[in-house]
Amino acid sequence: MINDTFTSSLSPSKASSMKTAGNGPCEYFHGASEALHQWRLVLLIGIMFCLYATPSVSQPVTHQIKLSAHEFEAWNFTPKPDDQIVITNHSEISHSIYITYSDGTVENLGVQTPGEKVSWTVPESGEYILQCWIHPVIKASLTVANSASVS
Amino acid sequence: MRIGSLLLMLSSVLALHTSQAAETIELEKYQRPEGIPSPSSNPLTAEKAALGKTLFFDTRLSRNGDMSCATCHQPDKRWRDDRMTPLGAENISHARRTPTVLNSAWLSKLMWDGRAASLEAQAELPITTTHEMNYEMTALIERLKDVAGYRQRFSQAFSDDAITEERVTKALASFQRTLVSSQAPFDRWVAGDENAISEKAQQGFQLFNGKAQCAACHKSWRFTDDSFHDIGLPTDDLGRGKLVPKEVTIMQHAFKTPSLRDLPLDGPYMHDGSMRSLDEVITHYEESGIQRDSLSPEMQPFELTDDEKKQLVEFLKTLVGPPLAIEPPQMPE
Repeated sequence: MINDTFTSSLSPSKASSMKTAGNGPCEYFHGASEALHQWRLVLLIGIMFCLYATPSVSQPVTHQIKLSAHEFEAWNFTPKPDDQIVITNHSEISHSIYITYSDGTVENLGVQTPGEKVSWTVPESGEYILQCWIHPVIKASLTVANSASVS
Repeated sequence: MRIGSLLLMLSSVLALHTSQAAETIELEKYQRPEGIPSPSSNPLTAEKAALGKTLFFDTRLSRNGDMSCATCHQPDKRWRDDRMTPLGAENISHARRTPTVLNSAWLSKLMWDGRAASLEAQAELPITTTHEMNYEMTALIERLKDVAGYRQRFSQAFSDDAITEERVTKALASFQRTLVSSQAPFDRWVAGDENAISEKAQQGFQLFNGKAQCAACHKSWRFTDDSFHDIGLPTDDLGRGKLVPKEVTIMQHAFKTPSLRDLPLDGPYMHDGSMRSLDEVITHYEESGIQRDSLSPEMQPFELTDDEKKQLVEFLKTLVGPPLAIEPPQMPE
């Protein structure tokens, strides 16, 4: 999206139309306007370069986990702090998921009826255990990586 | 002749419909497993199971010497008893009825509230509970050491004749793992014998999985989800709720789903033994129990006709197999 805008700013047809507009009594102002536009272009290129060169701080991502009657479906993502985990109940029965932190803290996500979604924002890196109060057979561990270790 | 052909065609269509309906229920989910599972920390052996059987029937495991595991888990009563709630060593009534120990090899949470995480952990609880066998494990071990015959049996079951608490519970757990429900008519039907259960029972199976919603919790070949639900019975007993944080409302008055295999036809049913007939049980589920915050979301009202109730009961009868042929052991002296 940004690249598209940048390309159209440099389009030859537009640059050409600016030059032809310089004939007449206001030629001086037209020349100044052209210089101002060129400065804007340089500034824009500079900003783009800075944005590209600066190490990116990745934005939080939302991950999806599917919950069946007996288990969480396997997932292949490694979340990082501040990411959001959305768990969708794909079964025909209700669940009540809770998350146990490594220090023993328990976070309840409440009763989840069929089709309902619950979400949890990952607080920090570490190991978390996801379980269901109603169905103890539903149990999985979730590893959360450091922000720095996720590219 | 034409009418006869028409009826024949109609019955074929109906039979096909029933068979297709059974297929949509995914009968493989009800297939029995091949073997008996046991943990790597206590692999199942015949010697350990034999020792466990002796201990299971031995009244010397109770303080007063008048109560064994088999006093409540009676072989001729499908390894439970027929009391509404059992009597303990001090003649104190329990709040919860005796569950069967059949098929306990597959359990990951034991006792009505799931407070034991393994059969080995569970084995100690009735021995030491005040209102059951009311004994201490250390005193029991000393008592068993005085029985010469036990030294030989422990030696056969383990690497030497040391009698320890851990070995007692391992042996008891091993014996209980061998108690598996016999093949029932339903098992033969699932295996492909179309005549193993009646048409009425097959219709009951459809209701079980459909309109009556029993299969929401009574699932798998053992007909339990090994989970905890408040089914809306009038009770002050918090059940599982006593073991989890107070804010987990859904676990208040919740008890473990019992298996439906080998049900006695005259009860008692429910965790508190409060019902004596299957009709009474079905009516309770139709009305969905006491409406409270902890009530299981699976408890939705429904209505069955009298014929449908009979079909459902007929199906439940197909889950009863022959009793296990187990003779009480000779007690060592």
